[in-house]
Amino acid sequence: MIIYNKTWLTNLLLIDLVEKEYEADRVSGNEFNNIKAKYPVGFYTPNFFIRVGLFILTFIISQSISGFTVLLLGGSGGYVWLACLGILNYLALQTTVKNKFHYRSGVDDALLWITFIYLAAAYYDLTNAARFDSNLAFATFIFILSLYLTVRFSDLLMSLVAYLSCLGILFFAWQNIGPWGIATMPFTLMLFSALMYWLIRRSLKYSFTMFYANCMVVLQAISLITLYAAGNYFVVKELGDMLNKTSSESIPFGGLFWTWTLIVPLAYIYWGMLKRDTILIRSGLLLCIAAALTFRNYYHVMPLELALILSGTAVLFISWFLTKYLKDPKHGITYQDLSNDSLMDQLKIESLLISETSSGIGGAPSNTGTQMGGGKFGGGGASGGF
Amino acid sequence: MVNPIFEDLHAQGLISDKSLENIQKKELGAFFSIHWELKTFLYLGVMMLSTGLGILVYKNIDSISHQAVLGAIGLICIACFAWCYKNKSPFSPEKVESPSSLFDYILLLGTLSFLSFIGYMQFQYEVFGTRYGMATFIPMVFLFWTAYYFDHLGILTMAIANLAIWMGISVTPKNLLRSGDFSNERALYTYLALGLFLLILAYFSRSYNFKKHFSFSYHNYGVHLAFIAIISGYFYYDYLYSLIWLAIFGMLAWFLYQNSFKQRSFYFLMITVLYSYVAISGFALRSLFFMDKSISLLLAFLYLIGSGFCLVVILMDLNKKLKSG
Repeated sequence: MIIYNKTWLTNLLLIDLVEKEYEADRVSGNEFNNIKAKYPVGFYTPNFFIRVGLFILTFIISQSISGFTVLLLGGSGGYVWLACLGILNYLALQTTVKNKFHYRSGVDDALLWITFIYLAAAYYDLTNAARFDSNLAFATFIFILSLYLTVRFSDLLMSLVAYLSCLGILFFAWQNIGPWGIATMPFTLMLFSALMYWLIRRSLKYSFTMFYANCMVVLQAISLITLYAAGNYFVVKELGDMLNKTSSESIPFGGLFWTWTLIVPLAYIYWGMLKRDTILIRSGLLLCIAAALTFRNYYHVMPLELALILSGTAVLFISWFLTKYLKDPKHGITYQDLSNDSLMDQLKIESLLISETSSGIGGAPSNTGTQMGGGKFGGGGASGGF
Repeated sequence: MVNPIFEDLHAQGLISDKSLENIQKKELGAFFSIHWELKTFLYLGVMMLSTGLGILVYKNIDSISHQAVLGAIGLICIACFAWCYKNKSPFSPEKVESPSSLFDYILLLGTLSFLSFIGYMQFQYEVFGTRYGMATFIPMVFLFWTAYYFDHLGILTMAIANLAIWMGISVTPKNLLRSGDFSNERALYTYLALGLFLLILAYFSRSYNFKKHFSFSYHNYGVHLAFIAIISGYFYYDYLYSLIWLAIFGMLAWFLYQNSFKQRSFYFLMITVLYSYVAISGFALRSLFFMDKSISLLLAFLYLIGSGFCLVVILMDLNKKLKSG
């Protein structure tokens, strides 16, 4: 199963839990230090930024070693070569984790992904050379590989790959059944996603998922999203057209899929509010955008700018109302920030986002400058015509 | 209901009665926070509204109704600022906690409407005539004033971006990454000057304790701009002349390295180390490629492997140093 030292992982979970209480001043520093001494964690986990640096460096080193050996041995690529590199990187990964106790240090993250990419490329190259072209087999290979790496290293992105490739297996297998399979495809995918979501929620009760908490969050979100997407009108119609090689005007059970497209996001939000489940609420909000875009794609009730103005005003009013309504917390819900998202805060992500997305508007005066012939200071934007 | 882990710790005597009680009290009155959801909502609302208005204005440019639209934008702007003025906390050179997320985004909406108002006025009526510098200078001053007066970090970064636009360059993160703009001498010096200027601003807001929390944004933009400008300058010039740039780089990097320890910032330490690595590798590879091609490529790979390993060790060491220091 998991490659990391289980005692340390358990201790780490415990210490994280206590640390939150310590930061909120509910547990004293002395107590926190005693607990840390009693439950030692021997992992090497550097600061997040150092982790990013180590990730980049590991990538450079691994690629340079590959390049160097290719130059020396005069190898010419090919699947044998790729597979060898994949296995070598895996061995390096195992050594850093088992002997140097790296845990989320950047080195293990980088080696994990390099291994995955090399092995996937090796398989692809092998099947290409053998003229064996099967999507189903490729999805199966990716699924087995990513599942193994997820179980072993509990990497959250890898678990995402595993889920999607599993969905891919079902998709290609069902497609092979023939016309009946294609006709029932949306329902099969919906059923699968719902089943997966249910299974993941159930499994949270068992202790074996303890070390996979991050993966479980990602898997819940992605299964909710695929559950919605499988019944989204646009996806069903376009996918049906692609598989049948037709271009249809409407689809059977159109009403059902439209209802699904528009209702499910709201249902997620409502359900999430009831259950106090952030994953459901955030998926629901995200999918509201998808629903709005799907609707606009088929019904042009009004021009874009009017739609933007109206929905923008509506959204602002809803937020204004919520702020007023929740001035004192109601139903156990508050709009105050309870967590201290240190990374968001450290990098001032919010301010960067504002400057990035509003630069089109913020740069409006300079655009007019450019249009008027670009004077001395007129060359705004990336081109900067001096 | 308290997590059994805490009861367990209590039984072991690792947590005092009082701490356990604290935790129990917290879990009883636990609230569910929709802070980030609300913030995202506000952000989306402001963006949609101002984008929609922007499109509306430009689509109606030749019709009579454009004055009405312009008037509407002006009204929104005034309404937003009036509301913010009424609800703001009093000015202080320290950090002022914003009254609510709603306040932050209403202020942003007001600022964005002001920018489209000014931009449109200039486009249609040429209120600044042909003094194009003025057309970007006034919004910039306004942005800085708003950022300081209402204490808004987002608007401060917009102001910094506008300062760059006024100087004739673009510094939003995406444009910096794409940066095809380091190819001429003038842009290089502008970027460098702006970067150093921002670093000085960061230094002053820190040491004179005037809106100290703004110094991160200044410092962040300043570090990236200065480093990118110097490294581009290094590659722009011939081998010998470029050594001067390398020397400048060394001085700046040393200064920022010391500074990141003073600020205890892993982020700036990391940035400085990575840029330095790029500069040193640039020098090493450039020197190596004077040799015969077949050997130089091998040596280049060897260099990257060796230096990579060295830097890994250095980084781990720095991590330990900054953590304990």
